[in-house]
Amino acid sequence: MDKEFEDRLKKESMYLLGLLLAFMLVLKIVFHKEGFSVIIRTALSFFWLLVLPAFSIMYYWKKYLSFGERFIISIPLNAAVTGILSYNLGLIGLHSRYHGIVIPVVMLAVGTLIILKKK
Amino acid sequence: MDIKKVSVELIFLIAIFGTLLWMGLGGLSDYKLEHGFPTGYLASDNYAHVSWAEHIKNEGNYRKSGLSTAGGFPDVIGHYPMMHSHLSAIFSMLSGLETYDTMLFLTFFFSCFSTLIVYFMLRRYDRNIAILSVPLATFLFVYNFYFILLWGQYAMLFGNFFAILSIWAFSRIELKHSGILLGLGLSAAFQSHPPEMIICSAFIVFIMVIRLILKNVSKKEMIELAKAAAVFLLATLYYLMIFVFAITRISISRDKNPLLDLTQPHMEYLRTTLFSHFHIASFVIVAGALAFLLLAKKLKTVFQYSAYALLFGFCNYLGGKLGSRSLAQRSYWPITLAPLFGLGLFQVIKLTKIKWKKTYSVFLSAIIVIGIVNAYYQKMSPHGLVEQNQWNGIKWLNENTPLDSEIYFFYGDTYNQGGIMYNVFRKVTFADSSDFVNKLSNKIISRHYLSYLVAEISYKLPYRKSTFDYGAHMLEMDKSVFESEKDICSFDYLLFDKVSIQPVLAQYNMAIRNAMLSNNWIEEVYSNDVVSIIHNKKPGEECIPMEGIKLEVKE
Repeated sequence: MDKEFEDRLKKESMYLLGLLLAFMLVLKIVFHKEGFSVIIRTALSFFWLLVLPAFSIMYYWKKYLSFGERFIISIPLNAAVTGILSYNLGLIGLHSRYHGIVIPVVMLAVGTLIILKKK
Repeated sequence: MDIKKVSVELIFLIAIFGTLLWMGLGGLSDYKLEHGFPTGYLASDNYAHVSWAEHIKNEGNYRKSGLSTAGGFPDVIGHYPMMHSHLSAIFSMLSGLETYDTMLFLTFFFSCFSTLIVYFMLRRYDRNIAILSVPLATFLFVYNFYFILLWGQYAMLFGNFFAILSIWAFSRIELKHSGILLGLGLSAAFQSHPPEMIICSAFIVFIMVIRLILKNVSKKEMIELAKAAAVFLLATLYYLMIFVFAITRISISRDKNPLLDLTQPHMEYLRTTLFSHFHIASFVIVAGALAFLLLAKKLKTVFQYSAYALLFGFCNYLGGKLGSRSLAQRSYWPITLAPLFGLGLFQVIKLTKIKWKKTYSVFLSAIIVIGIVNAYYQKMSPHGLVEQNQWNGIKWLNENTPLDSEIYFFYGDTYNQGGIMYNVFRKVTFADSSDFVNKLSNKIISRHYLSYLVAEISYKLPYRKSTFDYGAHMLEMDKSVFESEKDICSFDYLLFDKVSIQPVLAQYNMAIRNAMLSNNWIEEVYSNDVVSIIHNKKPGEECIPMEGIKLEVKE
């Protein structure tokens, strides 16, 4: 990996971590009667299911879209892809209990390929 | 957006998002994510959506409708748009929250989040306008806009959320492969709530036609639009068939309303939202609309969409189906009119000749948000149509009765909201309250009560005959199957509410229950402070005499 690419990846990973912590903080303030374990579980599930997979794919447009815009769009895009795939995977016989693992893993694999190709 | 350089803006956006979530969901959920029963569920539709998500979670797919929504017919296809149900089901399994909690959380989260997507579309045009546009979103949680969320129009809200994604993708159509994002956005909107996709697509087609006339379309953009169409077809193929061959056909045979009906402007949608519900902000939006007319050539997609949303919202005066959809769209005005609000406010500021800075916009926006919250926001209390004990009764039925059991619900204060009973995944029938009260007035415990089969009947219970041919049980069967005097002795399990706003109705429930329990083949199998469930081991046997039992009333 070249240095610039590595730095960029590190920087964006730190930003994502920061946003995850900010999200946990917002959840804790809004749902202040809720325990930490539920807040953390909810935030991590949300990032796993609805942020990270599409965010990795959005890397394809890194030249044209800022980190912020890619992050914001990754959530509705992730929801769209997850919902569509979940419906169709269910129809072909894969039980929905596996979708929360299978769909993000497949999307992350596609995202990783894009990131490596765009290196 | 470089995070280091924009810390004020970033903090502002996080704070705004948090404020919106707090306004919308904080009080309603009692500031908790996890609940023992559906909290913040105030209408039949809320419960109906949860039942679909729960069905997907249990069955693993949405090939067929759940037994309770299908009126006990096992072949009714899964035909209601499903995006929100699938997402809520998966998120529930991952997070450990119940589906009723994830459904509420995702709906409110996405509604609040839409404002950030609009923000980023505006930011490319002008950062000040973007910041100044944000406060309008607070009206989402001000009456009457709030009703759409409170009364469970979740499918429509998801449809709008994905429509906003589509508009973003369309605003970036010059990017390579942006057509894929547009196609996914439209597919998700369609599978959330088709009207939102149709309204969004109409805008895209309208803009493209104008651009074609002005010869302002590149070949690259046309290729991306073709990609969008291809992705849409591929991603919606299965549901599109259901929509075209089942839902649309049944809608046409059921609904005689024309597309337009100028003689009857549509004025009823839940609690209708009016432009004046924006109070003083409505003047700013009007200023924005005027500015849009003056600056139309310079303004980009997001402003065009905002002007379109404003105009479309007033199409209710055209009547017919278009009028009805138009009125419904007004509920999302706090998001779709935000660009005009930001534009109007910024134009007014420009008139003052003040040397304006981005930080001023942040402060002004914060002040406006605080002003709106103080002036118009009313905190919701955390409650639902059913309380913990009633929900426990429903859960008991799901966990302890055979799948082919027939369940009967006697009078309950909120059971006229049928969606509650969709959450019993069995064939359910419930007592008509008028007939129930009549028999109480006549002081008789009857063996027969006018009853309704619980079912989601908007599309008449469609089932597949062949790939392109669908039937509808409700159109083919006698009306008495769905609504008639039913023999209460013929049911396997019967649920009675022990308490009511009108105690005499609960007492009557208990009198019927006690009369049935006097038979040795009927026993109480579940009871708490609010509900009692009895099991009839010999359905069809005479548990109440044909002539009924005269009630003895103590004077």
